[in-house]
Amino acid sequence: MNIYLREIKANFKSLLVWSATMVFLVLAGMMKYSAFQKTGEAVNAMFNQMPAGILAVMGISADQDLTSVGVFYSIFFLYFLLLMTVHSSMLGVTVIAKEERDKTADFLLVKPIRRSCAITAKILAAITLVIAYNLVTFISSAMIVKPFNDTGTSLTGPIFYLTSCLLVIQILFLGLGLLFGALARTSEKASGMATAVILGTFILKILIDLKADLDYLDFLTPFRYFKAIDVMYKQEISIPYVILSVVLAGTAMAGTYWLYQKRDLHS
Amino acid sequence: MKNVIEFKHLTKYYNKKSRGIIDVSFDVREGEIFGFIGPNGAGKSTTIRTLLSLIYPTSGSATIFGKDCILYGHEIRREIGYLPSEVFYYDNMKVLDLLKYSASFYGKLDMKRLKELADIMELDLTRKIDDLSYGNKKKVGIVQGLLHNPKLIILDEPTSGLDPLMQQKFFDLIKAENAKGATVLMSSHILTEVQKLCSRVAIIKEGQIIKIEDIQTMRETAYKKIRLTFADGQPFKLAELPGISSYEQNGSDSTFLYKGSVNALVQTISGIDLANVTIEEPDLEEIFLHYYKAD
Repeated sequence: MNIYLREIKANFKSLLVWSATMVFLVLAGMMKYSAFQKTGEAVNAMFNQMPAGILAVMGISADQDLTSVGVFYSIFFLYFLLLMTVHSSMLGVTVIAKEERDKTADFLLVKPIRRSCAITAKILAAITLVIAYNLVTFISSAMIVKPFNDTGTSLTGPIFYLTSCLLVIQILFLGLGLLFGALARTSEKASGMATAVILGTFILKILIDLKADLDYLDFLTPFRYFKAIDVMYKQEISIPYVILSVVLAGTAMAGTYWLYQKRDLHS
Repeated sequence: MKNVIEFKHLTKYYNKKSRGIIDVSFDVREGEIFGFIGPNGAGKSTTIRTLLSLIYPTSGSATIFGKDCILYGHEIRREIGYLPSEVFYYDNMKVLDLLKYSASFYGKLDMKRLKELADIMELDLTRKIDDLSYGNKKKVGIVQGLLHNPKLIILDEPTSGLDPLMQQKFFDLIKAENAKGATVLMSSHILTEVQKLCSRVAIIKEGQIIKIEDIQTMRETAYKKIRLTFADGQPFKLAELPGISSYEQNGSDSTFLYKGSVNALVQTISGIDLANVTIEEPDLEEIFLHYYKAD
């Protein structure tokens, strides 16, 4: 319990910064929307003329009606994913690697606890923080989108579905971050590995977006596990990908325990 | 007397080439203050960190209170107070918060003891760890290590960063804990501090234990440090007497270490016209250098 609280405290400030970034993203995005809304159909025409590659990078598909508040919001999904994959994987790396990075291993791990206990507390703290970040995203989104929504049907439900999918991906990347933290000798190397995975899977997502016949590679990139529009409007959450994500995260966490218990802690 | 720590052929290689320690075997008995000396990089911290299962041995094992230090590490560590050679803490914490955090791992916090220890070490509990000097961080480490009344105190280069006055207070504190029954294992490369405190020592060199000895015998059986000043300023061929080592001639002065019958020495020098003679116990430093030169 003491390690859990310590980790929450240690990461609280950084969570505030990440949360502020998230709120700003949603706020700035919706400001943009108000302009789109006023311009009307011309916006869609403009986006339809843009090259497919640029649209893919921005997370927009050509036939979407961007003057609809829900559709517009669904574009944020990619940006949420980028922020959250970075946040959760770095959090995972940090909670594990910090004791050696800050040379506090000689403090914490000479206490009368098993290493596995310390890891459990750290993982639970990280999951708590990830959930908190997710809630910030859900609540701020629901609140900020509401004044722009003149359709009469509430978007809170669809936003909840979307942020639930985000949570699955967050847990997946948290698992990877933890694993890298336990695997790599230094926190720098672990962050590097996490960054490589995020970048690699993001680029793969864009390639698949652009080439219609690469869909069978979807399982390789969590960026394509959930389709925002389908999640929001059809409540279509791909169960196989939820299961795959949870299994991957679970395996990574198991690996974290295994590797961290075996490793020499350098001072 | 029971052994509190037993090292059994403990060997640690960090990788194939990088030697940590090789075949380290020795015992630390209950109630003693055991010194562990050697120069930097000899393997003192490696030995201690293996004992605390922060790193794992390549081969061999160690037991504390009769239990394997890896398998039962989490149980054993309840009774261990450890001061690392370099102290690092969570920067954004205050001293008191850190000590409370540390205490939370051992059950209930003894505020009275905390205050006592902090008073002895003149530690300001309200300051942020981040703002402390190296010496003050060391004090936090000392209080932190002793707070839970450990039965075994492990100190890795404990005095670095402490001023002489603080060192003395620290030594008194360790002696008091020892008198209450705590066993102490302390590493150092400074022999005078080991000399002040320890009853037995192990000397480690390049990862291997080269000698385990009583401090007392180490000094008594071994060497006298002798300085002669010749009245006529003429050097005398003392170096030929058996048992003389580290002979140095400096003008009319000669200094050397002598091991052997004192009578033989006195007889030899009685025939010389001397202006002055001093016979001293050599400090460990000199003996130590001698051990190291020997091979």
